[in-house]
Amino acid sequence: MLCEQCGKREATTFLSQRINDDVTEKHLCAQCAAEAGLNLIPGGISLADLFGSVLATGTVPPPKSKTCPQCGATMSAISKVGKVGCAECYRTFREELLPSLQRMHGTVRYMGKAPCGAPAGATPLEAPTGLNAPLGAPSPASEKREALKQAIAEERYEDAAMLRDEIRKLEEGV
Amino acid sequence: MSAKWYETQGPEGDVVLSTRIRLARNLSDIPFGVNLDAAGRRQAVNRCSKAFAQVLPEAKITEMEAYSATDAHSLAEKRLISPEFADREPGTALVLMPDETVSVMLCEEDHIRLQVMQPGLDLENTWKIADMIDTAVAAKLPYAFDEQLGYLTQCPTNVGLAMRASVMLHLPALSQNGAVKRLTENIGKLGMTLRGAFGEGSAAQASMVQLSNQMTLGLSESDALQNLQTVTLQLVEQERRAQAEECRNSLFTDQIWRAYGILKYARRLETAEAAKLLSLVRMGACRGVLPVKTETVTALLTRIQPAVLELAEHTHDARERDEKRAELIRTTI
Ligand SMILES: [Zn+2]
Ligand SMILES: [Zn+2]
Repeated sequence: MLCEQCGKREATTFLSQRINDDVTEKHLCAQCAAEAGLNLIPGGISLADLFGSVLATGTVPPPKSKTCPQCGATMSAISKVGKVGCAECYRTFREELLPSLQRMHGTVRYMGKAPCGAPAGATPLEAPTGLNAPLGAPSPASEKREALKQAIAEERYEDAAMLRDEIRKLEEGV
Repeated sequence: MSAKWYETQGPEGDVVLSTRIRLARNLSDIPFGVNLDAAGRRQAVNRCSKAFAQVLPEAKITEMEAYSATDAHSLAEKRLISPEFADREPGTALVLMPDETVSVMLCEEDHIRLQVMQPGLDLENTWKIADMIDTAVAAKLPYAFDEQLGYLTQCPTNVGLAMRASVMLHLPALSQNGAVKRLTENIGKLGMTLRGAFGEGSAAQASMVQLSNQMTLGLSESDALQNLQTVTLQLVEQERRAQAEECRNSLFTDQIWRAYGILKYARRLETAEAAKLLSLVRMGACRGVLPVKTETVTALLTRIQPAVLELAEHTHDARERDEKRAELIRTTI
């Protein structure tokens, strides 16, 4: 998508600010983000810096009482520092974390290696959720991914960016 | 002393100085670093150290507190550890292979930050080494891993592959004509980042940029590395073309010769000035304009860093260091 500030360049930074319960969300290009006073390295999307505020606007409100059985963290503590307490937190607060992870990464589908060295995703333990495309079966997304590789190889960056957005949409199941 | 990896020339070595892959891993049964005190970190480090001692028997494992401040900073200048890790927090430790190609920060942001470096553009081999060590260690420790989300990390932006692969590029010609700025935007769209590297101040001066993958979900390691390889080769081609163009211009070759002249005769040089001039000289060496070897200049870029220099030359203050830096350069090139 285009930058909401200048309307000219591609938006690379997602900014979510909360001021007195008033939430503003903006997609900005690197340049406008820098001008907005976000101390970003040119083009370097400093998601880590924005994470706290992004998490704070998660769509699922955290139940007040829930704490992680291993480290004792609460969802509000995690949102505040933008850091997750332990591996168990990812299980305990999965519902609360998934929308933020989805927004941050564009997808919540892992496709890398497993600790044993084998590629993961071959035998998913959990049934795919609404956020997940079915694993294993060849999907339209995998064709698009090939096209994306091609676009990058041919330096067609505009096309590549478009394909990447389409892949994300497919994987979100929209 | 045998040459370290940063003193040798690798594939596409005229433009690509080095390849680095970092993997973040955590133990599943204890809190992440943010919730650990020094004693907790020490316990985590002990468990990880045992595993790494078995997998990398030649590696030296040292508590960060045992290093002097200068030792720690020189490690950061050689990019073996992060600048934050040089703060030597109690309980943290470093696993370091003698050839300095493999280093592991224990209890940095994550319990384990494994890093492998190779000269030049060599994503394939760098990944092979990192993957092998990672798999061997995973057999000995309970990694925090989730089928849907991949490797679980303290910072949610790293979740998934928990891998940062980067190449260090020397782009004097593209930096000169403003192309790096334009490229930065395009590259951002592809889930990669391009940023100044090599210490804060001297980075921009030396026209060094680091290209890294940013996406960690929705693609495999080999996809991420392939994308990085493709974009890197394009940058290499563009830089070479721009260099050839620039070198036809006597105004530019004059700049190169002047830089060489200063480095050859100066008696005092600060890091930033030296880096800027070495960048020009390195380009002159690459294009065959100057009678200097490229790898000699490349090695100097590390050897002139303040803490590295202080350790090698036993200097005491900034003035003495600037004199030693000038001496080192003029006797080397
Ligand atoms: Zn804009
Ligand atoms: Zn927890």
